[in-house]
Amino acid sequence: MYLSPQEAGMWEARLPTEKIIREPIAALLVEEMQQFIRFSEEMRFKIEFCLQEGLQNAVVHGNLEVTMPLLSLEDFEHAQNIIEHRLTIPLFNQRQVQVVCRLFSESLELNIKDEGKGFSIAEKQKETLFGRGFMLMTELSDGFSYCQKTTTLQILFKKLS
Amino acid sequence: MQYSSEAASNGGIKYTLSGQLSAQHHPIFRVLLKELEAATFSHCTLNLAQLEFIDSGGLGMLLLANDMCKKRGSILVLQGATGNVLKILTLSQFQKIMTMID
Repeated sequence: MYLSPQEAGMWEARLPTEKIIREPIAALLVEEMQQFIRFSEEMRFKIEFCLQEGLQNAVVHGNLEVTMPLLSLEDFEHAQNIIEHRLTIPLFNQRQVQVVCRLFSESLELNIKDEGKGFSIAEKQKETLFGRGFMLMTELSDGFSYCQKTTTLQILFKKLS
Repeated sequence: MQYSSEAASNGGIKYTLSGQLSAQHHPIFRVLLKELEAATFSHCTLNLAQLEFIDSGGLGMLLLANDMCKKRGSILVLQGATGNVLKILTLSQFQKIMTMID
């Protein structure tokens, strides 16, 4: 189990950067959530998708500080090499991502906090080949915001059924 | 993600993808891209009927494959996407970028 109960209606997970890079953690977290939160199959997909995007942004742009634009296969290969290299450096590798789920009467709030220096969503959206995540989160959630200062992404789902 | 490839009609090549195509599956998709780079084909079809999940990282990989085909004067066709995969492709307006068929 990754998620541990905190106060009533609140669960928290602390995830190593490398685990998020290598493993389908979003799917596992949503499976765990389903043990204590009831939501429809449609909502399951929306939550998993947004969690996946949020976690990837938290590790790649946040914890590993990979900020280069990805416009070609060469850019992509270069970024992958940077990611693999930084995963060997303790400064980056030891950073974690905190996921906090808060369940309200009808809604769910996810907070995804990384330990990087913060990044600009506007800049990330310019990276055309891989920059559709925030647009899709806008479509699939009921709202999200990213605070560069606290390096926290907050995603809201208003109706779970 | 798993994939298999086969020759298609009219000198084409067809890849069938299954499972999830997300950021965690970049290494295996890079292998597919390398294969594609070395292959000779008139057009490339990616059969997505067995694909269950795709994220923006997976979309990026499809765009890289599309760019690779375009540079070779070929086309990439996405075939058979359904459910949530089709939803993500449609929201991302992939139907305007590459050919999508049932």
